Amino acid sequence: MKKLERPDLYVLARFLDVLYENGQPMRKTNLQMRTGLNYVRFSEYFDWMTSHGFLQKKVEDDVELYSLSPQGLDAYHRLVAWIRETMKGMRI
Amino acid sequence: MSACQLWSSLQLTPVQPARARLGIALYFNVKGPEITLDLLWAFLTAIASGAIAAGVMYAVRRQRASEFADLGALLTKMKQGRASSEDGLRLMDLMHQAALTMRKQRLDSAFAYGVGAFILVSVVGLNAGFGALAGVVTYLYFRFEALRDFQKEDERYEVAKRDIILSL
Repeated sequence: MKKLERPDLYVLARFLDVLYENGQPMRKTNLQMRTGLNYVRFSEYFDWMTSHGFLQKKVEDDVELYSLSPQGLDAYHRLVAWIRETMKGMRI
Repeated sequence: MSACQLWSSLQLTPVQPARARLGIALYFNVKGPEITLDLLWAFLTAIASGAIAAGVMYAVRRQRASEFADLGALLTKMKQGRASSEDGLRLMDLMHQAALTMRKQRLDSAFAYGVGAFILVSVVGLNAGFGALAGVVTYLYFRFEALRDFQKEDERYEVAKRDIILSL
C-alpha cells in the first residue's frame, strides 16, 4: 500500500467530522461508507490517521470498532479553531 | 507667422473627407446637409462603442458572479448550524477565492489609471506619444502592484494550510 505523504485537508476534516459526530466507536466499513472514499484511498488515510495516533481500536464480540483517540479529538478541535481563526482574518 | 495665418493653417481644407472632421471643428468646417450625416455617423459610433463596452463588462461581471454561487449556499448552511469542519474549510477556500477576485478588480483599476494618465498627459503635453508612454507606464506599475499583492496573499494562505496539516 502506498504511503500517504501529504494528506488532503478536506479528506482529513471529513474523517474527523464523521468520527466526532458519530460519537460512538464504528466499524471500518461504516467509516469508509460515511467518508465516501474508495477502498485504496480510505486505507491510505486510515493508515495515516492510525500512524498519527488519531484512532483508537476497541474489539467487541470479535468486531473491530474505531473511534477518535484523545489525540484525534485534540486534532479535531485544533482544526476547528484554526478554521475559525483564519475566517476571522478574512476580508472580502 | 501671424495669429490669422496660424488660425487659417489649423482650419481643415474643404478637400478633406467629411469623416475626418470631428469634434468642434465639425461645426465650423462642415456646412449644409453634410453635418447631419456626420452627426449621425458620430452618434452611431458612440452607441456602438457603448454597446460593445457594456457587453464586455456584462460578460466579465457574470463570469465573476458565478464564482460566488457556492459561497452563498455555504453561508446559508453555516447560519443554519448544519455545517461540518469540511464545510468550514470549503467556505474558507471560497472566501479566499472571493477575496482574490476582489483583488483582481484592481487590475481593472490599473487599466483605468493608465487611460487616465494617457488622457491627462496627451491633453497637457499636446503629444499623444508621451501620453501613450505615460499611460503604459502607469498601467504597468499599478498592475505590478496588484499582482504582487495577489500572489503574496495566495502564498500566505497556502503556507497556512500546509502548516496546519503538519501540526496535526
